[in-house]
Amino acid sequence: MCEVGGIGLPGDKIVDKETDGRIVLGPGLRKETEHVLMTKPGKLCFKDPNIYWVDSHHKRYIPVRGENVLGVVTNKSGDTFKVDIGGSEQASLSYLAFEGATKRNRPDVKIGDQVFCKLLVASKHTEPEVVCIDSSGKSNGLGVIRDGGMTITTPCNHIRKILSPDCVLLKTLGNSLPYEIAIGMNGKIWIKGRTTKETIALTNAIACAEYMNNEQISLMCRKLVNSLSGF
Amino acid sequence: MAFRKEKQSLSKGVLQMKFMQRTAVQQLVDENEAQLIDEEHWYLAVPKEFKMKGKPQIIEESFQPLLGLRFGRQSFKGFNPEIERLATNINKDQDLAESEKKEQEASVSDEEMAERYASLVGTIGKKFQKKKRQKKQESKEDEEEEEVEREPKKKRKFLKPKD
Repeated sequence: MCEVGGIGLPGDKIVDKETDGRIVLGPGLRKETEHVLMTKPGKLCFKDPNIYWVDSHHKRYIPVRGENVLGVVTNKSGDTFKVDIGGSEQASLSYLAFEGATKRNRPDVKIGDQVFCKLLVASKHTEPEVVCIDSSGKSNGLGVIRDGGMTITTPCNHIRKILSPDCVLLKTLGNSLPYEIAIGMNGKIWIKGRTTKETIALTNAIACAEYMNNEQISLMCRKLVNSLSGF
Repeated sequence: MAFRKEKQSLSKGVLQMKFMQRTAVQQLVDENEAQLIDEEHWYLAVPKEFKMKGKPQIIEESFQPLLGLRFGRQSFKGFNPEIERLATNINKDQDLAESEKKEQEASVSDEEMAERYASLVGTIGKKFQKKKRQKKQESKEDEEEEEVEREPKKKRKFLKPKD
């Protein structure tokens, strides 16, 4: 038995709060006849109104439909690219799945390029498929990422922390330094600052913020900006 | 079985002959029966203990909508204006919801509002009464008020500014 806020192992039944209405089961939970069981080890979390999920440290990405990921093109074969998104299998990316691409007008993508893409198909049994356009054919921030910068790989739970609306990390850094960032749910982060020095500093700041709370993060950012400007 | 197969393989010409009529009719009936599939055919016979019990559930496999995560591409201080515009556009709904929450915390609660309006009901109600009634009621109220002893109303006058 595992209660909200407690640590559980796969197979543990969860004790849900007595609330009305449908409950939402997030990653790491499964309904088995009349009980809800954990399928991942970790902390059982709860969010209003009725959402349960398991939070744990993990580096292996499990592709999920609709998530934005940052991948590397590893192979070009016929009319698809193979993209390494950190999952158990490489994802396929059609060359038509770029903004403005037609059969005659192929997109300019080379092996080794980084692409920020959205998972269109992610099922247990087939290879995942990614696209760089939305349903209306616009790129909307997806596509090849070029012009320098630096990419790091962090645990997937760190990504969730950075992207959560409560986290101040990106905003605090952005208040004092101009930079651009692309964060994939697969744990890959691409960062680009004005200079190489700034890029490295930003990368370090993001990488070491995993176990910090908001106060510590803002303190760390202040220190970083001070040392960057030479104080 | 072998007999049946043989029967099915009889040709149309043979079946149309007069002495074969009974067999032909029987075959038609058999065919119709085979086509009639009752509704039970479409349901799996699942034992009771395997059926889902308890509260209805929605399964959400992605963290992105679950935790309200922001869009992954962002730009700050005008580093890439195009991305900056896009990211603010995508995150706008979230920011709106957030600011709404804050506003609700700061503004008046429903009960407080109801209390205030309750005191206003009489004042506004007066407007819609006829003059005579209004006076009557006022005089009544005045009597009551005298008992409570309230501050006498001052008529407001223009105050000359002091030099």
